[in-house]
Amino acid sequence: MDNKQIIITEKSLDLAELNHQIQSGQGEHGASVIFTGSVRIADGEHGLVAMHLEHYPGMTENELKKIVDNTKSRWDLNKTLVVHRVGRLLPGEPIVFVGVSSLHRQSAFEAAQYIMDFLKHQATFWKKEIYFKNGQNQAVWVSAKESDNKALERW
Amino acid sequence: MIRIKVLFFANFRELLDCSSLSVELDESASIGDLCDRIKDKGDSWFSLFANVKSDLNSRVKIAVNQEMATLEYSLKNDDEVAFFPPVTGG
Repeated sequence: MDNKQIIITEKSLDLAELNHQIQSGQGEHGASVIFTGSVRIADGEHGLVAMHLEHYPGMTENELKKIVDNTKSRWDLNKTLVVHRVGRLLPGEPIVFVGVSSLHRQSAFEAAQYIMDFLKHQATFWKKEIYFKNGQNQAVWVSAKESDNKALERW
Repeated sequence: MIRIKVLFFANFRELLDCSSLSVELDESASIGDLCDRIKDKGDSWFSLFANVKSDLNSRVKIAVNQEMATLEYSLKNDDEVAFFPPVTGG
């Protein structure tokens, strides 16, 4: 298989189609793990109107490719697919999809987690949240979390 | 002289009101030299680049030609330098 493993897109993610890409042909590889991350409806006391995702074209693809290559050298995987939205997203919409398949579940679980942990730390995306507050829309850049750095220590 | 392309992302781009910039520097200038040069472009530039050494990694990330880099990196003609805050994707 040599399908595209990394996709950065402004279009809504078609989860059924992405699931199918990972899960088709289960007979050969036995286990698959799918992770999707979505825009939370409300963060804190104010309602989220939208999220804007910016990235560094070129570098983002390079960083994701490094992560996928490292993952494949660590675990014996069959399929690997990482899809990330950019642009304007609405509450509830998927931001990121990670799908992996392998012979047994252990490597699929671990590989999916490894990809997400490193994506959070290394892939050049930045989120801006738009809230409706005091009668108007206000934009806030999301701050990086210390817990995301800590998540790397287990690897 | 060497010519460097400088990019800014996310809140840095908004703070500086600048997404890209072309800068001329002496041969083999470092990223630190580049920060010294651009810090005097205005108050917001100063706030970001005057103390970049202590802010490195916690507040400011640097890439050269789309690979992570440090302040000591020795620049070459046509290098692409990017400054951005810690990433928040996923």
